[in-house]
Amino acid sequence: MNKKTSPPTSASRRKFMKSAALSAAGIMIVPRHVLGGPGYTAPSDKVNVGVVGVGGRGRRNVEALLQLDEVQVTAIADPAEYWELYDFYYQSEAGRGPVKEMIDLAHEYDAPVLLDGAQSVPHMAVDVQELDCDFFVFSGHKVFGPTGIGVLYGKEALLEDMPPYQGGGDMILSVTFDKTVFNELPFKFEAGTPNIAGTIGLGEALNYLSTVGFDAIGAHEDHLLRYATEQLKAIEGLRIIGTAAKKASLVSFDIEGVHPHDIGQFLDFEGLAVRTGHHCTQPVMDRFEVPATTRASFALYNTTDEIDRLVAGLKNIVEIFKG
Amino acid sequence: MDELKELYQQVILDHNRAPRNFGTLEPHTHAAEGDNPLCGDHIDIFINVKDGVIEDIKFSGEGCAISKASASLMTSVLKGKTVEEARKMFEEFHDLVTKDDYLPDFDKLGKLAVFAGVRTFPVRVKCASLAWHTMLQALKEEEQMVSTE
Repeated sequence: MNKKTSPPTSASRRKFMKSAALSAAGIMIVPRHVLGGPGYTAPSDKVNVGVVGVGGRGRRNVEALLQLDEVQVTAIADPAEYWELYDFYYQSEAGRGPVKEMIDLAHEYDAPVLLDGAQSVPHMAVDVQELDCDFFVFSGHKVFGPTGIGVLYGKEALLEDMPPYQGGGDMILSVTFDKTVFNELPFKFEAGTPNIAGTIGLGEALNYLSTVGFDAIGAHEDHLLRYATEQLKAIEGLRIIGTAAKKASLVSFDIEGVHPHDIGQFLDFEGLAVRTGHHCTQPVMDRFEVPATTRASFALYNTTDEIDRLVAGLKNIVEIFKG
Repeated sequence: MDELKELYQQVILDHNRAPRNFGTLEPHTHAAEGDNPLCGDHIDIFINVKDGVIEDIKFSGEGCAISKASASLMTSVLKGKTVEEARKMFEEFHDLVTKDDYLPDFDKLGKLAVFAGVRTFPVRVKCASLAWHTMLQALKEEEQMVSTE
């Protein structure tokens, strides 16, 4: 941190976190071990903040946060602007939120950017060089590959600077009593026997996605999203939550008088899998003043017939709960 | 679908729509807060005990139909019962929703028997029992946070 400023006390950190949380809904709650403090290890003296765009405020939050010496923005994800349903028209294109813009902004302040692509990679082409993100990560199972494996992309110079995080076979080039030389990239970070089967499986999954092509995937998912949005809007008491202009192909909603867990239970019997609950985003639930939502996510394998079944199932649930 | 109808019986749907004893109770002699962190269900239980008898009991909070109906029916059943009886009812209810080979005593359970369908849905046991665990905790201590996790 800047030596000219006095070190932040835990009180000022708390004060900052409090005011940041109050100022906008778009502040990610940072785990205790990241924040540091007695009994916890902080990775640096700075407060590390991840910003998730909620509404149109994501960009302003980042700008404000970057002004603070004690703050380091370490993650930015999917910021998106509000939109009205009647304006709804979505065209598939890379960079759904102003991600590129925010990366450039972060770089103006020398903040490295790690982009979490777990949600975007199965649905759209991502050009990490064009985005100029410093790191990019995604999970194997989100691209229809095996579990327990993922991908870390990093700029070579940054990866060269980073020490190995794990010891084991292949990460060492030579060891003597005088010195240890680590292996070159990527072996430096791949200690021990790798997840060979997982790697082959993930490679095949990515080949498959490339064969189908992201233009085709995007067009199909757009069609499903438009169709589902229109059909779901017609259901009595249903409110769609999350209406970004260029949103991904999923619909989160609540239905008046029916808790999402009950909705999920009924749809399960129809053979329809939806996610119910707070989706690990409790502050967003607070923002929309709902305890939970139901979320139907669409991917390249879904069909409009399934959306029809979803709509029929929901109408049935509305009837049952209305009594 | 039969299992689903067994789970969402009319009595449960009715108590979900119009929960009994819903609200806060001030002043109260006992209270506890219950949470099901995984699904976000939250409940507050307020009890007034006089001479070992539950004179009044209310609940507030948010949750699915099963958890709301369970709290509603529990408060209806426990009002007027002694603290000792309430503890015994807890055991009875717990067995009803968790034990496969349990033969429900319908005389003892009364309306609570509608929750017999819960045991075929293991993930919903927590929904049905949150109110009961919170009630038990309230009787045990003054102000406490309960978790079903």
